[in-house]
Amino acid sequence: MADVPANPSSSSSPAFGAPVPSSATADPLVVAMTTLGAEVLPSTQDGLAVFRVERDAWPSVALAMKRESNLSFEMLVDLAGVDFPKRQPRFEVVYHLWSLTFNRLVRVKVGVPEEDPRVASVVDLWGTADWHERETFDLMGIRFDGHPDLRRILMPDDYPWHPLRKDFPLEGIDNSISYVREGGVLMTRELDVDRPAGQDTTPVDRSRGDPAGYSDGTPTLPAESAK
Amino acid sequence: MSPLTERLVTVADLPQHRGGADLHAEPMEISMGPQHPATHGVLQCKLLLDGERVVKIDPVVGYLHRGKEKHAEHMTYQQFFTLTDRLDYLQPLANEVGWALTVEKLAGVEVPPRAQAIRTIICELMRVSAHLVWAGIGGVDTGAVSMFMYAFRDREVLFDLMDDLTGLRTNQEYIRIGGVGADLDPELVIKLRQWVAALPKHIDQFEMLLTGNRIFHDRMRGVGQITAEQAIDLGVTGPCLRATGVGVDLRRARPYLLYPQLEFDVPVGTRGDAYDRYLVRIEEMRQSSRMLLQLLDHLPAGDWIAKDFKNVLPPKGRVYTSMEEMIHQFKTVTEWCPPKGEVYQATEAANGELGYYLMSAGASHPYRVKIRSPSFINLQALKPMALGSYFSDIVAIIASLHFIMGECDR
Repeated sequence: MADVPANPSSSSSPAFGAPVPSSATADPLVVAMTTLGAEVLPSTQDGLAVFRVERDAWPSVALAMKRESNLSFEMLVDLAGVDFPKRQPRFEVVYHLWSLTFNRLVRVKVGVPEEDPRVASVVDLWGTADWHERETFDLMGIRFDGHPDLRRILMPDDYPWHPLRKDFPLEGIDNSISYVREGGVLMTRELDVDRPAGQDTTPVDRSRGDPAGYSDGTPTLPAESAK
Repeated sequence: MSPLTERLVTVADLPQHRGGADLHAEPMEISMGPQHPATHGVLQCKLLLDGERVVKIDPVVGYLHRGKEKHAEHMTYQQFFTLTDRLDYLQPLANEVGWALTVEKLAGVEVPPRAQAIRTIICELMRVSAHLVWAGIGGVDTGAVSMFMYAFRDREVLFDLMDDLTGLRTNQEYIRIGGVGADLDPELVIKLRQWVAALPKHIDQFEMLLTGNRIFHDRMRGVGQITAEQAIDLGVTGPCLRATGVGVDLRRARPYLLYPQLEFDVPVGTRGDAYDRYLVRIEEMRQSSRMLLQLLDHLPAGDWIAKDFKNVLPPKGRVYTSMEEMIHQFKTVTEWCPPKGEVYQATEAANGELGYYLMSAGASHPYRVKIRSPSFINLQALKPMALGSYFSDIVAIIASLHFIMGECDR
């Protein structure tokens, strides 16, 4: 090992790839991305260039990022869904793209509204997105249009919820209990085949708040106040 | 014509044996795993076989899903170390280093050089340890059972050394935000150095067993081949990517810890088959031992944990004896909140790029943690590798890919 300097750079190692100049507009990457219609977001602690892309523009931006020779992001490193229950749009899909040509990593965010949780799939451009998108669909409930085989991957196939959403309780939701409303009173009904239907309801103790996962029959997600 | 040669029939002329044309078999569905000994944990492969050929493969994962990302949102930053250990359980401390680097980048904690050196040593020891398991199990999978004994002999000694260093043989929880949990004492440095110095000779033994072995060649060469373009498209990283000839190593590409100051080579393959993946991993172990010798011989003096006790847990000994440190400990445990922000930090783990995408809302718990686990991503390459190959090759392909289901399913 070469001699260790008395004060080495901290573990928050040097900025990735070509250093981002302080005047962000001079950066060719930023110029190219802005031309494509991406919004430049302030950089965070890790010094990556961050962009926000409108959901409708994302397919064309992704295509350009993969194919244009001045961008050439060959590898999709990571894809994550993030839930912001109080924001509009509620979800964000975060892509980390790596250009091996320029050794440069960027973060691209695409907002996805709760009413229509859909975003275009990028499987055609980066094959690795296949399982990433299945995972994000499984845990966050975001659908990827154009995905060849969008089904759950980590949770069981018949699992009804998307557990990484913020309003899903950590302790999980008991699948054996359903909630019914009888005469304005919320009751639990245990799904017990041995007991006749209608005789197995018990009032819910509401002093502890609404039970998570309560719905009027079909299992949907609990209200945002659950957390 | 003698009676002995009368009424003879040549078996090849029998209708049922004529060119095999009549030997039509229905494609057969087979479920391999999740309890199959060669699927390395709980991977299930749904296979469609035409005779011995694989025509369809669907890997089913998730049997070991423990919801670590969900748990992370309900744990403090210090607590989450425990869960990172159980990702790739063959290299628990390397996972911890990745998490520590992520949180330190978020909070801007400076790590003293000695702690960085100890962490670099640990990362390389963990790489060797994980590759030893891979070599041993991979040997068993391809029929070389004695390889297991050789690999686990070395790993066992390393476990004892880890026990000396951290108090535990595995799942150590030794890395802290700002440094490590205890110093590496000089006696242990000598023992580690002995172990590392003996390693190249032991690797020679492994190579004598496998590298030129005819059976091993037949099992591994040309099996599970993918091209560099396929590997990049599928996001494959680590030894599996380098075996295709792409020299991408995060220790070079996005350097962290003391790697910029170390001399090492990045081995790459040419064919991208199972045998190249084997050769790349073997050479990586040699390079690791080279790095370890550089580190152990020039271990910087100084603190092993940052003195920044507003952000860092003070050493336990001082907590019990000093008022100041006790208060710091109490405040760090109960109310430490890093600033708002986002960090993606990746390290070169034994199987590839292990990344943590951490989003902080300025609270005591992370807002969102996404673990980019190399095993999960690399496993996607099983499909192109296995299609068209023989059923028995799947075992060799799985062995050469080497994924850890604990990390894959999170």
